[in-house]
Amino acid sequence: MEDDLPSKYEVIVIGTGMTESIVAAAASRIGKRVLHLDRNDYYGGMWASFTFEALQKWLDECRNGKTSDSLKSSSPLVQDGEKSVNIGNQFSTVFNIEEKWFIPEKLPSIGNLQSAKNTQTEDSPKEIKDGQTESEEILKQNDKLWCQAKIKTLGRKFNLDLAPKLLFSRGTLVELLISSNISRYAEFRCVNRILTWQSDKLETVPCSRADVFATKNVGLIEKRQLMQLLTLCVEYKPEGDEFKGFEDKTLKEYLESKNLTENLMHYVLYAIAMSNDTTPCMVGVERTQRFLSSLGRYGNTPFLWPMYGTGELPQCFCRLCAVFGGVYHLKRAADSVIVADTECKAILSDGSRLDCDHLVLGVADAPPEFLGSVPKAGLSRGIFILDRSISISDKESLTLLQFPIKGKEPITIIEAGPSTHVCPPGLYLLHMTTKQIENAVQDLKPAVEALLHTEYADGITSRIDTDTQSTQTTKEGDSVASKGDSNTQYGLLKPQILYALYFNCPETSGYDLSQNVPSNVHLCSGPDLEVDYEFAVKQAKSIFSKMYPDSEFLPRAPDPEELSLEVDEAAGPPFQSSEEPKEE
Amino acid sequence: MATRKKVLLKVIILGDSSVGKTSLMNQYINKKFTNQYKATIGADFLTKEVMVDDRIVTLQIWDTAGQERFQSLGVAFYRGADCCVLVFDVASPGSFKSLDGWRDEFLIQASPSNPDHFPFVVLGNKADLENRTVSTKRAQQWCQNKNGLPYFETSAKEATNVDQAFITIARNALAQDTDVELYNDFPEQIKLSGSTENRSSGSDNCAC
Ligand SMILES: Cc1cc2nc3c(=O)[nH]c(=O)nc-3n(C[C@H](O)[C@H](O)[C@H](O)COP(=O)(O)OP(=O)(O)OC[C@H]3O[C@@H](n4cnc5c(N)ncnc54)[C@H](O)[C@@H]3O)c2cc1C
Ligand SMILES: Nc1nc2c(ncn2[C@@H]2O[C@H](COP(=O)(O)OP(=O)(O)OP(=O)(O)O)[C@@H](O)[C@H]2O)c(=O)[nH]1
Ligand SMILES: [Mg+2]
Repeated sequence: MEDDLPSKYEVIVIGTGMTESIVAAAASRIGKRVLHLDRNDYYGGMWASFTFEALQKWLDECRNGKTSDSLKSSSPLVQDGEKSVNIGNQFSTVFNIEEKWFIPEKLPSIGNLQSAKNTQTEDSPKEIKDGQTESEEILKQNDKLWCQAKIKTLGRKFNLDLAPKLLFSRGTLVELLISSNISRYAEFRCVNRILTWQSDKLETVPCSRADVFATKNVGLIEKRQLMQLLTLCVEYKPEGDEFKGFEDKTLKEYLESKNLTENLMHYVLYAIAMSNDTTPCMVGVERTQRFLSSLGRYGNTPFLWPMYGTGELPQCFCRLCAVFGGVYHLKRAADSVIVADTECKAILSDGSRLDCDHLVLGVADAPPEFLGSVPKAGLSRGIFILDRSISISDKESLTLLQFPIKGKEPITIIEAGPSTHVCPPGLYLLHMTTKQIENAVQDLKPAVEALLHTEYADGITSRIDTDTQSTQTTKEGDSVASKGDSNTQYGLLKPQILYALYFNCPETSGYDLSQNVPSNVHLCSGPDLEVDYEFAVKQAKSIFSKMYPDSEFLPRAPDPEELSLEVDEAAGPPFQSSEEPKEE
Repeated sequence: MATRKKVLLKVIILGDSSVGKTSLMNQYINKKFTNQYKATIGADFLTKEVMVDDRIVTLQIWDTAGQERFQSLGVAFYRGADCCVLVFDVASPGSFKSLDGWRDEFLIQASPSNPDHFPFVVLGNKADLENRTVSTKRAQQWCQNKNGLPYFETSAKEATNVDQAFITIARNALAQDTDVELYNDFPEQIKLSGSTENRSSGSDNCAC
């Protein structure tokens, strides 16, 4: 009770997920008094990124069930004619958690390692190079071997995303970041490689004009065909004739009508149109346009990935909200919502009543009666720590792969390395996301088995080391056979899983969340299946325009320099004793 | 990429509410001071070019934007900091006691690669006040115990020691700017440029 949190706000936002944070920033930006709460001690909710340690803590909470003590309904803070509705936590947790290590807890000590090595290799004892002792040599070898303890000591170097996503370079989020000037809080890297899985091989998809002409994977005639097709898609206008007759057909049928080779079909369908064999033609054309129009703005693929992982993005919007006066309080749960007639009046939090005109709630915090019957759709997620990239090249890559599954949604795979600060040097992070059919382990199995080495690594046998691999695979067209391959070179080259985490989480994007809520309560969905942020931005915009239909959504924030001048002009320094009351 | 990169140093200012973080920043950059206390609104970060031993560096000084009031600075705020300035109010023992907490918080959140030698600079602000309660000796003692952190007594009001403090901040930040080089091999990080028309950043490499 004795906290100095002011008690009246125009907007209270509960939960710091992506959509909630955008709405908070937008409201604060036009001068509304905003309070933004989150029960966790971190930002982002289901959109957060965690260090390894924080991930473990989060998993424990999910396993043990988060407890929310329900409040007595007869609180003196609830007035006549009002009723108090308890906050829920239906969607703040995940299911089917499967966690697995593929490496030993600790590495054998140097002595053991040495004897193990001696029994394994019969070659003559290594020469001792200029002053380097043999044990140093072994220690260096040891660098390439991983154990659980080593991962844990490096745990702070991980940023493990709960909801990994990419940004289309000309997508709504990038445009919003730029137009609102929130881009100053974030840094990105360009995805520099789009792979596809075709005939049991990984292949690099040529997607820029330069790539198309440089690639050795397709012949000259195919190149021309590809350019023509893509140009048709880019230039498509509804009044044109090109797609007449295909309105009710699939993209695949259209592509077949163009007599494309199987190779090209595959590139266009799965990688560029990001579709599958059932995607309607016009949806596919639209996706192709989106893909192509984002090319070439920042790099050779249409996608950007935030440095330090996607958990940074909600925080950028929160920062803007704070800069414009929004009040932030993490580790602060809302307990209930006070409703009178069909309006939300206030929330109760930690024994205080906090009044508001509008309440914005993440689904994770929504009272069950506000949710009605939300279908239990879900996402299947996998997070893998790997000892190398799924497809090694001479420099570190940031990769997108849409792994096709016959008759189902593809598995979206994002692989990021240490230069994006999501994992320590020497490791790679692989994220898989797909629509939940059974559970995460089952749903992701095809991609895991195709791409990763899933046997236990004993921590003694060192595998072909990463430094020498790059010379073994060629840069372009680095496709290597993989079926029945455990003994072939590719089998050895496949990345070793060091640690795997599977879970299922709810997906509520397909559901109209405004059905059962008071008119001034606005619910935000959690992470959706799509690879980009289109949905979250759209939802945030629509919530904002319901609250403030006549106001501009996130107009450009002035640069700090411009701002400080304004402030100085407005507030001339009145000279008085410095004994004025302080906010304490 | 043979030439030396332009140096941009991120400096973050931490300390309890109302110790004078915003005032120090404003005094240093805009040479202005106001006695009116407004919990910081609109303060974001300010940049200033300074010469440090013949090198031009751009200091980017980040204010906490009030998110520190309820210990709600997210980890994003700490990313990539090259120097951390810890501020207390010499007339507020509570703000001095908080320094330990702020330092720990920084080391946990920013997790610099070399925590023992990360450049912190400590400022005892409002040195102009008559009723000071934290003695110079006590503050110096604390700094001594933390591997000898530089300590300045400043007054944002009277502009005492402010420039000197920030020069030290810049120099120490520059000195530790090493692990950045580690990632030089990899493609450049991308800052989304503002209105694309006005500001051609030049670095956009169009692949078409
Ligand atoms: C991979 C890819 C990415 C694209 N990205 C974008 C984009 O980001 N934004 C956008 O607006 N449009 C994009 N397009 C569409 C397309 O490049 C242009 O809209 C279209 O080519 C018109 O541009 P232009 O006038 O410069 O044509 P030109 O470059 O002059 O080409 C005219 C015609 O000749 C063909 N052609 C050109 N060079 C060759 C060659 N060496 N061999 C064979 N045929 C050739 C072209 O396909 C085209 O049909 C992309 C196309 C492809 C294939
Ligand atoms: N006498 C004196 N007053 C100062 C000095 N520096 C700041 N103040 C006053 O202290 C009060 C708080 O200063 P701010 O700069 O707003 O403090 P802050 O740390 O940014 O506070 P928050 O934004 O709330 O975190 C203001 O009233 C200033 O005028 C100083 O050196 N001497
Ligand atoms: Mg301030």
